[in-house]
Amino acid sequence: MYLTYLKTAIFSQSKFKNLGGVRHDPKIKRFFKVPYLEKKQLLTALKSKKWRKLGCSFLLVIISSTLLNACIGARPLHQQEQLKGAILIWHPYKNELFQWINSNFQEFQQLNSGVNIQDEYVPQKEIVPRLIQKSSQGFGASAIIDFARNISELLAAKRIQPIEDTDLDISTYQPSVLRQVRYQGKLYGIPLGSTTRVLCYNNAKLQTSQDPILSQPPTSLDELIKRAQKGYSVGMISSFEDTFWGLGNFGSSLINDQGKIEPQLGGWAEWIKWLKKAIIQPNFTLLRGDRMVLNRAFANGNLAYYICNSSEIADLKKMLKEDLKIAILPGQGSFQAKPLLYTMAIMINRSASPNERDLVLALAKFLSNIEQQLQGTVQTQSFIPINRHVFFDKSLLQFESVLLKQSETAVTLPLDNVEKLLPIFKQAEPLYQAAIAGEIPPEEAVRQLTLIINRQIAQTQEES
Amino acid sequence: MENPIPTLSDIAIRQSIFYVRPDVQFQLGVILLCLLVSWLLSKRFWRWLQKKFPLFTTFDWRDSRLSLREYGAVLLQNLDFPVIGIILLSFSRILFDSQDWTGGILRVALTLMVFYTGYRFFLATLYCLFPVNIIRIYQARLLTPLIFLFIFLNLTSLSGNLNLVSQTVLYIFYLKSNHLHR
Repeated sequence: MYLTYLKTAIFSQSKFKNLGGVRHDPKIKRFFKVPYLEKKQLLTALKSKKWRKLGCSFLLVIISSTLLNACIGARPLHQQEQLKGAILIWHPYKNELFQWINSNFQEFQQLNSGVNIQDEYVPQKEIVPRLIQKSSQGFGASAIIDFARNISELLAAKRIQPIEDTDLDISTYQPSVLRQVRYQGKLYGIPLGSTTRVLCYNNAKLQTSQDPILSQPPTSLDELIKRAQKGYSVGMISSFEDTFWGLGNFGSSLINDQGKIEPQLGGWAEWIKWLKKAIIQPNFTLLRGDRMVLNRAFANGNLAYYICNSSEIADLKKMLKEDLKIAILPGQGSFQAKPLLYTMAIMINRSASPNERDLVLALAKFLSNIEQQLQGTVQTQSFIPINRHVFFDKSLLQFESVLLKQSETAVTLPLDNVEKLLPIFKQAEPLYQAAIAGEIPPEEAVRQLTLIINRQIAQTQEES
Repeated sequence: MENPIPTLSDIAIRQSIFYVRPDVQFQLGVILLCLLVSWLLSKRFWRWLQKKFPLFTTFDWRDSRLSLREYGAVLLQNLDFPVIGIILLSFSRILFDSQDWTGGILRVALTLMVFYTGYRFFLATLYCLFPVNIIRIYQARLLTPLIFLFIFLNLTSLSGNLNLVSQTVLYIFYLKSNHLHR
């Protein structure tokens, strides 16, 4: 109360020399039980050098201790006997996948009672921009779970921490998956699970027919067309990336086995021609736009076949239950489909404290251990385990065996090349759409895309 | 998918995660240092002005508008602290950028200081245009609370989701009112 009086006295009046015309408020005199000092005496006392020096020294002590604590806080990593502290994780999971990740977080907290995990759902498209914005201030989640390909954007903004090889047992991870989180020799994310495109089909819609051809899923593109002609609806998303799997069916590729960009796009023209032939078939839907439209149509039983992402399986299974089946994508002749392999990884905020980093690393190791990976695959049947020591009975887990088989031909985008590849994908999209719409011949689309890729490679070589 | 409404303890835990970070503490320390140095320098500057130009820095406190000379003096006195603060914060921001340190909070502090400078300028101009006693009433009851509310909301939105926090407060009021009705 006395301080309030002092503030009122000093800050309202002290700046002005002549105080004529202002009366002392009698209420203040009654309110305070201390003797009422003359204002002049009060101001003189507070203006004394001694008080000013004390005040400044006190503030300097607080500020320097804060600064020192901040500097000392940047300790090197050390092994903790007992994990303790709180972390905030942003993730894009919802519905069934959220149940799975949430149960993992709960289990980790039960095993480590001193740890508190705060998790927050953030739409997948907003995670990276939000982390970049908040982390630039020092805030934001301790770590995020997102697609490994987004590491390049976070690296460009310098908002994630590198992870030393000694922090993890990297021998447990699939080499193809490690390529997606390693940039110029350093790890920037810890893989948690992979997804890819597969052929989802509604068995209930097929069982009504006596046609023996329908007892097995289509294994070639021609068989897929035949099913559409027979009245069994097929749905696919129409974009360069979503139809990337078809390149392999015609002997084409963009990346070689070592992960280097080596375009062989002659077969892409044939693939586009096949897609144009498929569009005009009855019951064949090539939809440009939101995947959720086809997802809902399939979940509601309006589609028999749907080229889905394996991350959709958990929610589709909830709707279709035992009617949902999956198969590897149809090939063509001796060639097999080569879909892209998408890996989810956990990435640590650059502003995270050393303790947060330790906790996130411990959590990531827990999530990628054999038991948790096996439990996740059994529970969700949606992702491909990234731990190379996970084995299971393929006859018991049919979904997982299909996913594993598809992952054998899947194409991984190495992180070292992602910043070259993503612009290629972006520039390929209008060419693809123009070719599908008939504005340019497929051969012309191939020629232009090859030029774009060669230009990109040349530009990168110049920069390096 | 909507996130569940956080409890007050969740909000407290999240704030504790953020404010323990070295990056955050370092920035806050630098901002406090800049503000303290600005304040000391502004006091020193005003005292020097009072000694050098005693007539210029004398006010006749009366219930009417200030003269142009007095307006100039009030303007100097109101703007010395925020302007010095802007200069020091700008130098700090340049240093942080050159060293590639995390400096987002510094940028926000700089923006808020610019707003505060504008507010002080606006206030000093009001003293020139209108009787002082009327302005002081509006300053105490409207302008000062508004500017502090603006600064508070900006600071709150830095570390957390203001929508979630407000939902928590409303949710608690809702629970309490339900409990009272029973």
